[in-house]
Amino acid sequence: MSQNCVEFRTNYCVMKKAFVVVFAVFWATLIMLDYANKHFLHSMAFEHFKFPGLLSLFLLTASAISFLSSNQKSVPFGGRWKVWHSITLFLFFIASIIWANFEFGGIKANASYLFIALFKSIGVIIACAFCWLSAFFTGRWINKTIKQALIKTNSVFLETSFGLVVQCTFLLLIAAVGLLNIWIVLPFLLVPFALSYKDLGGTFSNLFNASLFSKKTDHWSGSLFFTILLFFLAINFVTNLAPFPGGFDSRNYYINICSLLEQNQGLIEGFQPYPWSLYLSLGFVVFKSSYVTLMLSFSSFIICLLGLYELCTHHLNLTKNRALLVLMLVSMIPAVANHMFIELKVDFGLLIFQIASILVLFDFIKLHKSIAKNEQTQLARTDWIRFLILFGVMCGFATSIKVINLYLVFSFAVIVWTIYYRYLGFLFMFMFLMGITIIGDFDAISGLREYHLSMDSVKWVLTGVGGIGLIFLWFRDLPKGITLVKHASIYSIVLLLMMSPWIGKNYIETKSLSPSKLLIGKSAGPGINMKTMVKTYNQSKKK
Amino acid sequence: MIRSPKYNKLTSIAICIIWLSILLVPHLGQSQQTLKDGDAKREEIQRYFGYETLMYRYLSIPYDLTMNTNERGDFVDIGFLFLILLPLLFFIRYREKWWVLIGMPLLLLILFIISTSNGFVFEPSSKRMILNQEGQTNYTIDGSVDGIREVIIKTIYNLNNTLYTPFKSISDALSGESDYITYPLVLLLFIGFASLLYFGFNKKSRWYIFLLSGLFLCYIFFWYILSSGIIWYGFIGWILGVICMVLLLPNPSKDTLSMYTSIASYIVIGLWTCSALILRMSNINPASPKASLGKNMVNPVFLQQLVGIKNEKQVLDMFYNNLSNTIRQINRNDDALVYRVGTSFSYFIDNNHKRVFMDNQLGFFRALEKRFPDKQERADVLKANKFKYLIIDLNTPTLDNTPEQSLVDKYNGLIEFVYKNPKVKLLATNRRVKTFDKQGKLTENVAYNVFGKVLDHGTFAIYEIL
Repeated sequence: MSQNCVEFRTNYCVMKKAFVVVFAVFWATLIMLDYANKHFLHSMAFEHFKFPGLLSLFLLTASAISFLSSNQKSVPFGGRWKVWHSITLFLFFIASIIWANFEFGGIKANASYLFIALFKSIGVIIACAFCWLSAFFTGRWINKTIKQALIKTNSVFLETSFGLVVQCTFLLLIAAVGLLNIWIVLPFLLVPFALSYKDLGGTFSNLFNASLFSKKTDHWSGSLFFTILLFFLAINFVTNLAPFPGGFDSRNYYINICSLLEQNQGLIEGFQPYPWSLYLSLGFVVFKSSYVTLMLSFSSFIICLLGLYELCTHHLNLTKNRALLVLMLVSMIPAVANHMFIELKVDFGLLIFQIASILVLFDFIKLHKSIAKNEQTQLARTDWIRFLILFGVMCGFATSIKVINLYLVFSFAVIVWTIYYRYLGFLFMFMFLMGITIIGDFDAISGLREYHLSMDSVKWVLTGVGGIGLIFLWFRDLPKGITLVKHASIYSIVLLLMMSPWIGKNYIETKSLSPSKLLIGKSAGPGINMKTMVKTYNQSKKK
Repeated sequence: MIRSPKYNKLTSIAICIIWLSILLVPHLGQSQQTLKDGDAKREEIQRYFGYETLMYRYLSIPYDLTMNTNERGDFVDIGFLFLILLPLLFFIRYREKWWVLIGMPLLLLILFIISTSNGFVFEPSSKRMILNQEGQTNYTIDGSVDGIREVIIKTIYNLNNTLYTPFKSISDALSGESDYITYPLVLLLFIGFASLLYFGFNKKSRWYIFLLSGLFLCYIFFWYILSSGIIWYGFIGWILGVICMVLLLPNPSKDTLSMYTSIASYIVIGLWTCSALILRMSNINPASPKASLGKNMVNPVFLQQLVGIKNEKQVLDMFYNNLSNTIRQINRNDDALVYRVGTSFSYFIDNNHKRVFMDNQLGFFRALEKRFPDKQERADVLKANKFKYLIIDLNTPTLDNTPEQSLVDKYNGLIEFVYKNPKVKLLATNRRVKTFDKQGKLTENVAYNVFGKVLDHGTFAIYEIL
């Protein structure tokens, strides 16, 4: 290559790098400046910051832990940071936060008040832990007992999620017959512990002595992210120690439903399907405490973090430190944090099963890949059935919590078809699903449809082209197509089965077969409309 | 990723051309101006999405969500990391591809110009939002009061408004309040972008990255097209986005640029973490009195109840003046129905799923008003239908972001209904006013009432229908 070419290429590379750097710096600076201008709450937060002591204590603690976890040789207790250390640290943060807030609560700071607050906090933690562990042991026991275990991987998160599905189904059955009371529910929650009595000690020991930071920790940053996360969660924990929820939707819908379930000791008419509120109502039904209900909603997020951690470390090959960075960043999104202490809804419950369904898919594809690598021709039929049932259960239950999970179900469909049929699979499945979405009125909630004047033609073009394309792909490789349809059918049947109790309830209440009524149900409140109001008024005038 | 056979690409291009022809050619240049007056979905749901020209309403969403142009508050704040790190880390990592090197900066700049032309600049000195609609605002720069940050932002916004002119011409020609083009365009953009990613990357990418990024893109697109910008409908999408962001973080030992990118990314993350932590610790509510700002990390009243100084009834009355007695009265009347306009008091009412009628956007009340213009007769209609109580959220008008202010108009109708109506009686409110005497003169008496010279705006009022 001539000298000029080499020189030009070098200059080009340098200019390209310079352009990249300049643009990156420009864009980052611009967005941060603009963000700071529009989010004056952030600057007000700094301007009116009132907790320098607490912040200093936290920074000191975080520094010490980062040092301890990175400097294994000098640590007196062997250099292994375990789960029970984290629980102790969490309680320490709770105590510090409560103490720091006494001043602004008009409370004279003294040890007896702190003790009362800590005592209640520990009580709430134990109550929530009891519920979650009951779900975990339920899932583990069923998984071990059935001949072909549904969950082959040693996943605490997946077993807990599966246990939650089983428990919510049981709660639904007893609520349907008006038996949602402590005398039925509490024994049911205790049964899994009794059934697993042989493994109880070992399991608790493994759980609490599991090592979080060991000599294999890559960097001190992991423990720093973890400590920040723990502190942030502790602040939100203390905020949830309240006699009633603070948010609009929590009070009008989600936690309100929990309270109504306890009042009625059974299912209540109206509202969208509420399997997760049914689970959260354990706080009222078993413990007669709003604290526990609110904390179950909050601690659902901690269960989500467990699932996310597993996804990041087991499937995405992220190091422990980067996985903890993900957890920290997710928790600190203000919109997410808002759901931890103001608007306590069912979105974290939904997240548990969404993450579970993603994990199930990743587990299965990993298994598929490892078998292909070992030159075995195909997976056993039982592996397929096991995957489809578990996947269907998680997706179906998530959809029964909130219909918006259909976005994830559709995304799964697009991805799976892309894996099978490459680009055309993506294109046709995407178009077909978009068409079905519009025809099925799934966009009704946004109210934006009337602004899109081409919607009538778009929906038929999408459905038509997508549908024809899918049929074409199916015929192009018929054996593969038949297998795919069989699998999709099993999955869809399981998904619909999980939603069927709520669809049934909605049908009984609305007497309508319209898809939106079957999925969303009847509105709460007295069934009054203008016609009945006028009629009743006219009749009253006659009297 | 396997490069598909040529005919796959040709097939997909053919489909797109046919589709575009069917949809766009007959309808190019046609747009309609339709306003939905008093529509509840327009007021309640679409406030997260915005009300500008339809085409740019969609295209400006990534920016609007980050800057909270349409709706403000912690509950819709996703931070700045998505808009900074996701595109930049992608840009830096895949800069060798010419369509990334040129396309990404161009796309981001166009996004910025379109989005800022329907936004606002906050002026800290005067504490006001200077709105910008269709790039019409000329931001005045006052060197004596504007900080360096505001000077930079205003200068850039003024420049953007000039650059917006051709985009405005496009939107005027093709779009409006409603149009034929936006939906097909958005679908096409997604297919185009996904196709670029599919064909642009080879099979050396690890399968789990393909799966995760594919899930993220698909989910975010379905959320984008169906959820009207409501943040919490897309939580799993944001989480997948954070994972994608961290996956894109470069290995610092790879080369010099990677090292500096890694350092810069962690600086940005560090800035964000500090800001988010302080934000949470201070828990600022701008409506609070200045003396109490920064002191609400934990609600002080709840803390008093936690340590046993106050009971639940006292806590409720501290939040909402005289609410516990009123709620007790409502709960004594098992059959009495409650007409609720806003507030979150359903929680305290027994069997509220049977007794509380919700009309947050006042759509039903407006219909009642039209059918029964006389307010005393309207009270009789409510009473005949067993409505005994009316709960009003005094902050209802603040929800109205529509240009036509339809909710404000309906709310005024509700307030007119309760004003000097002998058929309704105020039971409880936390609004404090100076009262007027019978001659209409202002007195120095301060009372809890809805009408008078307002001292403390309050949040609720509960009336009994007599």
